[in-house]
Amino acid sequence: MELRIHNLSKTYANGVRALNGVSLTIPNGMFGLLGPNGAGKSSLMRTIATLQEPDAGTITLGNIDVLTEKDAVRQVLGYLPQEFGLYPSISAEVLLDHFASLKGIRDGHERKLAVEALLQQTNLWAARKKNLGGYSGGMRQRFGIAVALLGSPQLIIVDEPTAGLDPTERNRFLDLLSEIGENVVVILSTHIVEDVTELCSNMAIIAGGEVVATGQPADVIGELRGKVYRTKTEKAALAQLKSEYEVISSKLVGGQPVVRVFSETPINRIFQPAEATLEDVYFHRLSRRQKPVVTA
Amino acid sequence: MFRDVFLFELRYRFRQPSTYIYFGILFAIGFIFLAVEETFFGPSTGGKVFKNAPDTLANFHLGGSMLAMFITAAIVGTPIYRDDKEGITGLLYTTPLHKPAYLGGRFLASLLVIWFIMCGTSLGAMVGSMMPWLNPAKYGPFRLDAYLGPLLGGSFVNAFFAGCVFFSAYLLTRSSLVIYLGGIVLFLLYNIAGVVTTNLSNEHLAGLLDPFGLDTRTVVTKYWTIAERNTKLLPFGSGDMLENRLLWAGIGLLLLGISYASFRMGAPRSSGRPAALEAAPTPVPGAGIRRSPVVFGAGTGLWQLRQLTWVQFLNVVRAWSFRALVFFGVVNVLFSAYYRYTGDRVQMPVTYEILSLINNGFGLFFLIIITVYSGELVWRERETKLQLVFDALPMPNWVPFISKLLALVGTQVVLYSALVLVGVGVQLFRGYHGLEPDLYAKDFLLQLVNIILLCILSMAVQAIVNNKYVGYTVMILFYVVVFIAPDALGVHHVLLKYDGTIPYTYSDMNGYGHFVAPLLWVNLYYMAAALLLAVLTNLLWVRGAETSARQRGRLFGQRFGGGARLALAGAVVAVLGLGGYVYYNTNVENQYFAPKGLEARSARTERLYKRYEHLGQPKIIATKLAVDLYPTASPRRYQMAGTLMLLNQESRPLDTLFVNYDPSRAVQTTLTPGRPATVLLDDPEAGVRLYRLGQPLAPGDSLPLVVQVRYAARGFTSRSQDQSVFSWATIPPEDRLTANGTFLDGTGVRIGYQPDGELEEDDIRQRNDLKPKERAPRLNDPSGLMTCAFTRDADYIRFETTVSTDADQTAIAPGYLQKEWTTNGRHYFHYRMDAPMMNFYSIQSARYAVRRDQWRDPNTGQAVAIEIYYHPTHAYNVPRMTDALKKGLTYYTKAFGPYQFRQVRIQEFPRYKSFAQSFPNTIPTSEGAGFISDLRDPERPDGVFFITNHELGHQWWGHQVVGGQVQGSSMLSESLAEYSSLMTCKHEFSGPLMQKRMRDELDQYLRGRRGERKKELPLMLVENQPYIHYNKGGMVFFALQDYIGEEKLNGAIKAFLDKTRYQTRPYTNTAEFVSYLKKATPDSLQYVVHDMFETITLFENQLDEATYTKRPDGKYNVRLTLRAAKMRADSLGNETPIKLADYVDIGIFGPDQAKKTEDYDASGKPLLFKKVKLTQPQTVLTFVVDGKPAKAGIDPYHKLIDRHYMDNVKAVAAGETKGTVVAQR
Repeated sequence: MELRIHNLSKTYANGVRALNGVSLTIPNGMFGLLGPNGAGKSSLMRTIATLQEPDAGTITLGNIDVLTEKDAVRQVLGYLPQEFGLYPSISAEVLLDHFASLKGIRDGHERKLAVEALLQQTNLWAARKKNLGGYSGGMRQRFGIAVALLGSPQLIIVDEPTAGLDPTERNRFLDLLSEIGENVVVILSTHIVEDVTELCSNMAIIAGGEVVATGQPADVIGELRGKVYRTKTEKAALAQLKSEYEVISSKLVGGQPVVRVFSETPINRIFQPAEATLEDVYFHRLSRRQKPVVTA
Repeated sequence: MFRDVFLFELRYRFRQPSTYIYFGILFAIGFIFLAVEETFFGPSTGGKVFKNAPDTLANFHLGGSMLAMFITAAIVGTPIYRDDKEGITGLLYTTPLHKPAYLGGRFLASLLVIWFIMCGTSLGAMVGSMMPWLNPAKYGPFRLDAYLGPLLGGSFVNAFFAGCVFFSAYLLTRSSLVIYLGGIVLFLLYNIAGVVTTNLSNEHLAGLLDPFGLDTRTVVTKYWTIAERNTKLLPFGSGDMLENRLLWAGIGLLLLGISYASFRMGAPRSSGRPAALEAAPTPVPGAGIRRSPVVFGAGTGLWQLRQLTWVQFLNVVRAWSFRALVFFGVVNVLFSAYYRYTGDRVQMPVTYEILSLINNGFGLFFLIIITVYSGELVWRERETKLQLVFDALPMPNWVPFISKLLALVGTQVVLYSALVLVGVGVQLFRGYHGLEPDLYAKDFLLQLVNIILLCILSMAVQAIVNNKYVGYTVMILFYVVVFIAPDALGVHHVLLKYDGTIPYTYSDMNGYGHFVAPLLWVNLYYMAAALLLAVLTNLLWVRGAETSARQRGRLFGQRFGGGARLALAGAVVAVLGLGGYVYYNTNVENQYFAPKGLEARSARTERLYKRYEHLGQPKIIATKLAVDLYPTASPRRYQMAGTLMLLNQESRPLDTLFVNYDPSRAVQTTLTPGRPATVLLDDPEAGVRLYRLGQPLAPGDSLPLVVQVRYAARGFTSRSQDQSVFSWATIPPEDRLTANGTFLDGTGVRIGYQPDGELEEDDIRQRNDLKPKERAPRLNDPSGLMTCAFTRDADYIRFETTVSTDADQTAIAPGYLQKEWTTNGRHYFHYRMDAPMMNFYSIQSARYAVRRDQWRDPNTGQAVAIEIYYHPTHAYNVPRMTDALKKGLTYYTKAFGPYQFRQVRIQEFPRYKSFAQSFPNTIPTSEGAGFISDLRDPERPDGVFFITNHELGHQWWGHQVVGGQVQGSSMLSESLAEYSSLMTCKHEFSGPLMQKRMRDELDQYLRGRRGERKKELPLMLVENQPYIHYNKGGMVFFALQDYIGEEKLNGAIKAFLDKTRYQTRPYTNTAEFVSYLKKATPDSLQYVVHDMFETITLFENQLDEATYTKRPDGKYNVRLTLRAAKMRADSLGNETPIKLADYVDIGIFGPDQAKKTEDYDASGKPLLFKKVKLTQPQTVLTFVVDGKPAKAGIDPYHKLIDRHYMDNVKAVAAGETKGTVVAQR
């Protein structure tokens, strides 16, 4: 199964252009969709999840036309939206069972097994009889993924699942995602580069409603290999540095800025060569998009 | 801080389009209210009451603000909820914002906004009242205060109070549903207050209880005259109205205070405790994610529907809010039952009575609940922000909608069933054991249809409008259009009123009878419309994140595939097919008239034929009919064939015969004059035919007119709800011939032009291009005096009929049964009257049980047979009726003279109308007018005894003495029958019961004046006005016998009867009658006759102070300070004071003896009771009485007409009697 997105565009009624000619081919396996807030990730994912209509473009999942054969898509879809609420006065076990039946698991025994297995896997077993109103953010997120994984989805869409999770919760969550088999399309949108690095076999970077890079993480990183340098500097010197070099990112380490710079040519006087990371690519692409660098 | 919050909220609201939508809706309702001819909102308006009368405007503002409760909830109930829902409370509560500033700012700004919206009502009404097309005669001068008073005291206070309730409800529970639950509770309070109002002695309580002040207004203004209604402002600043306003505003403030104190600036309490953090994950290594087999197709959609429906249903039903609602509904039924069964007119708790207990007043209740819950269900996922997860689930598109719909219907069924169970409980508690489960089941089915229709509509509105609060408002608009003001808005036909009321009456005699067909087909038609709505709703259902019209349209297109097309086409075909069938029945098989169409028809008849009003016509002197009834045939039909013998009593030959016949399509009339005649004109629309006789009918010569009238029921009609109680004349033909309980009252053939059908009200005449006219000819109108008050085309006639009916039915008509036989499975009855009688006959047939008895005149020994024909399960009061007849016959023969027949019969008929009517020796009495009255409690007034003897009285008053077609004639029949009956009651019942009876007469009279549409007249000039000829007449005669003595009054009446018995041409009038009264009245009391009969005279009597002191000799000195005033009123109720020189009862009483005696009544033994002549506005009287006085009063038994009768009687307090008794008066 392969998800093909072709030339997808969407402008909201308020004039915001959320998607602009997005084309992607997403094979089986974990696909990371990286982009800053407001890049159009959620719009894209909602559109794939049959919840939103594009102005133009097509989406196909295998032989299914996602935009018109919504029922067929929903039958193989697992979707975890970025933000969602749960009925507060109902227990996880009951609600999950309810969703399981709505997902088409008609056999009662099967449903029981599925619910039990997922509650265990999402580590909600101990809290399964608690009302959802009392769940922490991480537990809710795990419950959400349990809903998304119910049945046998072929297309799993998880929208910014790790945002707002503490590191432990995040790890648990990513562990869980990694359990999903290889024969399923999983789209994970995030603005955290590590999520992609750690999990995804394919990825795309999206910004301003456009795809700015796509491929396997290694390939995407490949384009920057050997062209990234780093140095420590003083806060006062930062502005000058930024005007002289193409700064990818600057981070404070122990209160002192550590700057990473992109350069086609070796700059070894004050900089040390550094191993290119996906994060470098991400920031590099984003900064290029925002202020196109004129390279003479 | 406060300022910021306040301004923020104001700005927020004034930027929302919904604010202006709400304003616009109220403006439109106000505009329509005053800019259309018909009045809606509130009874008995129109006539001489201005459309912009202060009283009308007050009622409109109060009612309008009640309906606007939904808007109040949306504006004032939601600001804090909005903050919670949008999740900005976290931000808000962590700023240095203080609770007073936060809550105060939000609340006051919302209040200001809702007040702004409420102004829409007044502004709309003001603009509406200035429209150029209005008839200026119907509008009084523009008065700003008539709008401002009700706006401030009514709408603003209601919005404030309801706003407090809604605002507090959310603060206290943090649940948006509860905001509306608060509204439902308010509505139920209003409902309960309405029930309480029906009981005179609880009016003050009812006035306080109604949170919206509507009932308060009813109580305060119940005796307002036309003049007062047109000029007087509703006193919001005093009395009951002020108390009500202060009470509820106070309750609002109190609630606000409580919720303010309990509110803390924090997140709403979550419903579960936080789950404990569990240990580090122990994922099952390498297990992978379990892949469960899923099944689609093969009925999975239906299966999912079941799952989802059940879950949504439980979700509603298990919530405490729903249980609270059931509880309040049950309380409401119990309250209604309590007041119904502690009131004065108690009926046996037969099943249809219980059903009406449950169903009455619950229409709006269910509408509100369904509206609120449909909003809850439709928005459930979106409000928990689960919609993206939910909407992506693999369910067919229709599953979410249909499941919510079914869940909604299910919850309403639960609620309704709970109410029915309570009803059954009430029925058993009242000692009724003939439970009829099948009737409950049938009624349930009807209610279910109603519930389904409302559920689909409200879900459709929510889904299509896609704004919860605007959706609620649309539902209120729907209610206004279909239930409150359909006629004013020109929405008359059943086809136009989705879920409108299909008028039907269940009767124990006839079951659902001929109403089954309209109920079935019209409901099926509505269901088809609902199906259409459902299909559209499904296509427009919001699923996913798209809510813009364009994208919804696009989705509509996508969903509009084969199945949807088929469903839509099916629904359209069903609507057209069923609608067509209904239309065929109502408009093709039968003739359909909107109210204006009926007016136009009357006007047309008048314009074309009034010129024949004084055309000399022969009179009917004998009627001989063969009537064949086929009540259970299909179609139900009857045939009347026979001869009307016409006699020329004029002094000239007559060459033209003017005949009226029934123009309805279901009735075919064949007329054959007994001598050669040519048809000059035939007008089937008016039912008028003019013959030119080949040879003129000479004076004294007679002419047989052979008539044949055939009726066969044709489908069903689009009935309008007919409110009039008294007349069988307006009842549609399909109600006359019914499977069990036929009641025909003539052939429909009448001779000569009939002015009775003319339009009466001036403005209605005007809009039909007719000149205003008097309601009745003047007292001494010569041609009026030559015409019988009841039948213009006959005086006394000879009557004979043979009636055939089903084998198991008994047919009854005036006259004596000559022969009864069965041929060919048909039951024949031959009746002949051997004395002249009015041309006034009933033909009844039903499966009757009969009770026979006999009364013998103690003086002459002549026997009168008594027969009561009743529905076998309605035997309750048959012995009581027999007893009443015997006592009536005894009193009347002694007081007035002999009974002219050898037999008197009472026959029950279905309760399509609730009245009893006196035909010669025959008294049809409605199922609802005595047969199921509950007389088990002897402490309650016995209406059966009273009605029975009223009708028996008509055998004298109406059948022995008849007036002419002039003013006052209805006094001769109705007031005298009322008096006769009251006199039998006087000798039958205890003092307190009689007091109640008379209080009822006074109350009805005073209320009747309020509803007068043309002009009030003195009793002797009454123009067939029920509140005058029954209620004032009863009071006046009862008072007169007290003033001049029972014997004396009866003697005068008997002398009058002896003189005028069977007198025709000229007929007598009230002037002649009053002359007999004056002869019998001493000079000192002549003024009483003048006051009571010749003028409209009222009193304002009041006991200011009453004290007693004990004397050394063991007796008591009593000192009374009285006020008295006497007024004359004109035809609109404008009063002029006149000089007082009147004998008025003064009474001093021992302790009350009746169990439930009101403060303003005295039921104790009179220690002193005498008439005192009062001449001063204030009088101090002192008396010595033997026993210890408990109460005292001026006119304590209310013999005089006094609008404020509650201040006549007071408890006597112990006190200092100043000085010594100088003179005992």
